[in-house]
Amino acid sequence: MWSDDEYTTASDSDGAAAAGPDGAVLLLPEEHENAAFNDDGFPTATSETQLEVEDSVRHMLHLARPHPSLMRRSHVSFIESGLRGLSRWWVSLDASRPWLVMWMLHSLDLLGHEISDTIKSRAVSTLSHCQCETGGFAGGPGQLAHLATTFAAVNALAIVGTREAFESIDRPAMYEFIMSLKQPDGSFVMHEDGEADSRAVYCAINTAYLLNILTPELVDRVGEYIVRCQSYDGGLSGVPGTEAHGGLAFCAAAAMYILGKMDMLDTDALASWAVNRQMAFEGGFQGRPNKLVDGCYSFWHGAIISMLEEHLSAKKGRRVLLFNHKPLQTYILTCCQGLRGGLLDKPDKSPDYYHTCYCLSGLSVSQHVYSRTPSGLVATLRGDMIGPDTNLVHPTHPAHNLRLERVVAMRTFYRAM
Amino acid sequence: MPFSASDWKDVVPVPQDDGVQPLAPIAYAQEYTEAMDLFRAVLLSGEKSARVLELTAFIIEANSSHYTAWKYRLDTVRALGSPLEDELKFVEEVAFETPKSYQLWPYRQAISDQLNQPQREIDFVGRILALDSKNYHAWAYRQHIVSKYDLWDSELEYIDGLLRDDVRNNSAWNQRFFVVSRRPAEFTAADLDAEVAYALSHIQKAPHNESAWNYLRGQASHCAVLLAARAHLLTVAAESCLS
Repeated sequence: MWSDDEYTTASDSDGAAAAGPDGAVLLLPEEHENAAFNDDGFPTATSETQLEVEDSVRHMLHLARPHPSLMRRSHVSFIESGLRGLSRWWVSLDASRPWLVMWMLHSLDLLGHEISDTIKSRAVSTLSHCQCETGGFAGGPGQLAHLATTFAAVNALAIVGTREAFESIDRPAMYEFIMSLKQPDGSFVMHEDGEADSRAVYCAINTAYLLNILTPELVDRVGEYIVRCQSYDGGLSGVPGTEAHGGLAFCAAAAMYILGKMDMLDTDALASWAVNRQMAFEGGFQGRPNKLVDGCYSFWHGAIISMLEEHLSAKKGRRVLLFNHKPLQTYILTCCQGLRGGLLDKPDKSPDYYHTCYCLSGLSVSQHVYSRTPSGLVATLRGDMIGPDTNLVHPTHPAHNLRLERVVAMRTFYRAM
Repeated sequence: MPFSASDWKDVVPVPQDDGVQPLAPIAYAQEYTEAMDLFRAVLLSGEKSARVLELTAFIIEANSSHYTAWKYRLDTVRALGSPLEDELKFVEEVAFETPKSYQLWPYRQAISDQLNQPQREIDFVGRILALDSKNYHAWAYRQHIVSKYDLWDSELEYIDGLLRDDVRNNSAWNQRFFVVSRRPAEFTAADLDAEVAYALSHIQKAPHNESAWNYLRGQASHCAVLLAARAHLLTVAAESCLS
């Protein structure tokens, strides 16, 4: 078993050596080269950038040890540093502060790093200062309520999981807020005069479900709207007619999954689209056909595949497995870990809190298989994990992206009210 | 500084109330803090004025995801009846800096929907797509313009050009499907033949191109749906004749 600090890249080997410094075997067999992108001798901008990314991934795969480790301690210290504060360059996220809190806390939660009572209290206080009188949460103190930051704040409070956290949410006002954003076609807008898309639908449905305020009026025509977002290639888009896209497809599929309406979609076409987003050479996922791999899609597509596995298994009465999980784990562990902690998009990019959250969430859904019981979703190990057993992170719910027990605790609290 | 602090002497700044020991606080640049302190005061007073346009411009240029600043700017433009042409120029400046901002596109739409200048909008999106031919927001906006102003025919030429540049541009393939399946003209058997031939001719250039195959498959199932609908209509018609 490798300890944290033994995961190092042999930077002095200039990439030519196929074996590690201790003569360890290759992580991947030479036949893996057959999976490289075939440009049919007809290069275009898409194929050229694709081949450049494959080169950088090939370099990382050659340098990696055969049993790559998740650098837990480094990731925890990266996140703890973010909780303390961010430099002025992060001003671009000044209207996304509940997102920052959610990404950081969920990452710690998946790693099994205990969140102290002080951090929990500070989280409730920080988020309460973003809560508007209208019920929703804003991107920062004094800003307008927004569905996406409401989603992030409610999920962050679910992770905190204390009575103080649950009681800080004004549910009657929240219900009015969500209903005020509902559109005649079944979609929701993000805020007054804002955009309507499947992302906003998911944020509304997830929030209403967790807070136990999911009324028939709120759900009305949501399924019909999402069905119109299914594209000719089987994927799901933001608004009807636009291109299917990993992040938006997750939102659309998760909304349907929460509502128990998966069968309104063409699930076979969705499954085919989602599994084909996994890159044959890199092992990670792209967001759309002919785009580049990005660590964040590990969760967006991984979660769609996990939801489909659970749904189709229950429907067919036999285990349906669709996830090619090992290449994804190899990609995350060898190409998406920053040397000083934090996870990232692809080699040569810098780590950030968004990619840390969604690379770890993707790792989680790739390590577990989900099945439904009367008391809720349960996770079992998928098996054949890449790297040592210490790489295992906690199972995350593929639709809510919260640890399973966080979903149950929040729902139970509001049901009792 | 793009907005002049001396113009704001009459306003008492409202500092951000983060509470005690907030998590993940951002160490703002001094000018951003000053601008936001004034903006919070404006939100409370409801002031709509030319200086508010300057202030929101500064905030949006520092952080183009600041949806509250965008929304308040729109309310201000509406209240003042300020020149919409200036707003289009403002959006263009922001768009070339941060073309992937979610917020600038609905703002652009709110302004341009009042102006009825389809060519200007198509040119604007074309310039953004020339920088990144797969910009998701730009394509969504383009679909709005094409539908609103009935620009279906010229759109196919544009897509042709993009696919000549890069046959693997999935966004362009999606746009072709959007046009062919949604334009008001009836989708005929000849259209289907043309689309199948179009996809096949591109598949021959690069047989491993998933986008072209997906398009071909999409047309096949689109056609199956149409044929099923037609068969159903014929059955209904036949039954009504026989009864």
